[in-house]
Amino acid sequence: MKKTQGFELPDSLKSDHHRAKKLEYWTLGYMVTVIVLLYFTMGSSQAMKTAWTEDLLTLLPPLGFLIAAKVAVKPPSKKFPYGYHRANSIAFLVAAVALFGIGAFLIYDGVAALLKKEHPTINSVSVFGKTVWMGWIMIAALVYSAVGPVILGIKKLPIAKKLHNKVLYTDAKTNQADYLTAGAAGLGIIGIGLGWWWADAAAALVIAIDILHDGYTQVASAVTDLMDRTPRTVNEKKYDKVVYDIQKLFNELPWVQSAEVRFREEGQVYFGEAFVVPKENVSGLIDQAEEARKQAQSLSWRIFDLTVSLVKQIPDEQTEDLKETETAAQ
Amino acid sequence: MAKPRTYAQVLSIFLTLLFSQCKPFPKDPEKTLQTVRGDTLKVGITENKPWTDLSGSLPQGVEVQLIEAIAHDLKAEVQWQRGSESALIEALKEHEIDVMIGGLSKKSLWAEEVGFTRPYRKEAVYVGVPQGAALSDIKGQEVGIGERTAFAAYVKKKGGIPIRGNVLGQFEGPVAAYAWELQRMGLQNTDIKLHEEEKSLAITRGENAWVMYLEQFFDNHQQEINDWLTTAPEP
Repeated sequence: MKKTQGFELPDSLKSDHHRAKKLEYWTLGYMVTVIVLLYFTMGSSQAMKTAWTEDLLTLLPPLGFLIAAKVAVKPPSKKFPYGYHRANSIAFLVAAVALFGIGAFLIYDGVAALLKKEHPTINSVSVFGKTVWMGWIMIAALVYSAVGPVILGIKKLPIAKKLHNKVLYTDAKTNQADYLTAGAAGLGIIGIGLGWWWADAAAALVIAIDILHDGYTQVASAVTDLMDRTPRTVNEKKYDKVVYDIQKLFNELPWVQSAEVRFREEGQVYFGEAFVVPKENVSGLIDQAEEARKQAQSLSWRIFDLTVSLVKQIPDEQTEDLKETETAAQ
Repeated sequence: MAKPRTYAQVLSIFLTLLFSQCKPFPKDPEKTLQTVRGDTLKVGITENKPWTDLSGSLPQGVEVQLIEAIAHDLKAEVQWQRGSESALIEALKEHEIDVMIGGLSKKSLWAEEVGFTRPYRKEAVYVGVPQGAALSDIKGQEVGIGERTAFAAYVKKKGGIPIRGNVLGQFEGPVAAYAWELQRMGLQNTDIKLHEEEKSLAITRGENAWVMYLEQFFDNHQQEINDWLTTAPEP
């Protein structure tokens, strides 16, 4: 049985991967402090509770990334001949489903608070003999909860693109948008202060809708990845151009009459096949095919595993071509 | 010379006006603090000695004194409304009363129904013995509890046998009471802690100016609250 190679990243990206892991550990550490802080300041505010839950959820992508990073590099075995690359995709799906489910629950919770006309009570604390409204302390905690993730998100985003890692990318995006959550919750608190009891639940709903929306897009993306859709760029906006390039490469070879390729994503790398119909009377076909495979793989480190299949005619030709306009420029 | 001063005065008046628009912050959705001030303070009261005592013609107890001091500060008249705890909670939910007292704690059944102030006092129930006597454990021991049913439960939890219906000061043997009560009765505190509780007042949920006012009052009157304990009814 043929087994695929071991470590998936080229040496040039190893330092980026290491940095990503470090950033994710930082994220975990920082978010734990945020979660403890918000827990002790949230009082009876629905918006604070929702923001807290979202912060709790932001632990999932870093955990998923770190666990997948350990699992995905395991060498293929007899039992798992394609290796463990999909660990990434599974981590992504699990995190996405959690996000979606909790988003839905928080929307229910927020609507219920609105319908029950829940008036949140916010007490005060005595600080050095002064009576301070807890609302101010909540807002301070929210600011703290946003500063770290935003900075970490900005640092993680370019690395995620380089590594073609969707878990990391999603994580970076969520972190970057954390100030919106904190801002919404902060407005809710100020609303309470102005005597608008509904502001709190309304802010909570805004945050919950955002969580649900993130969850929905991520579930959709994770499911389509697992359904072996043609690889898309890490932001999910376009098809990866490298697939198109390989198709072109095979078709332009002098010994090839026609060729068709297909790829799928396995975590951060691609697996695929090239079906090649050679011209008649070509000599050294095996060497030629081997050479073409090497060329294709040299186009990108993401072309992790490529099988070149010499055929008399292309099986089940796909009827529609992927639109070139939808393909990303590299 | 007069001109800059006039500008400064105008500016300060303007700023004062601006800030007074935002004050108080936080605000009450139901305007409790605003309506109570200079008018009537509607207080729901349920008996729970020594915090509230309804045995006389007028309410007495530590929390009654606290309410009277608050009313004085707000130049408001107190209107007492007696009732069971659950009836008063319902009244409070609908904002029929402004505040409810009766030795309540934030950790009560009602935490979801109404709002609570930050505790004005942390309390602990201890076992006391006559001076010179010693006691390390109340397991199997008879402990006097006076008329406080709740204390019977605390004694039982620690394996003791609660003895009810006595005047604590005259009970021969260990008694359960608050630390300051033991001191007042001249008993020795054994440091056997039976229970901890935090005393709060209940308010209509979301009345944040009101709760802030009350908590500020607690912060500024800790000394008086301590003094009132010395005049609380005997257990």
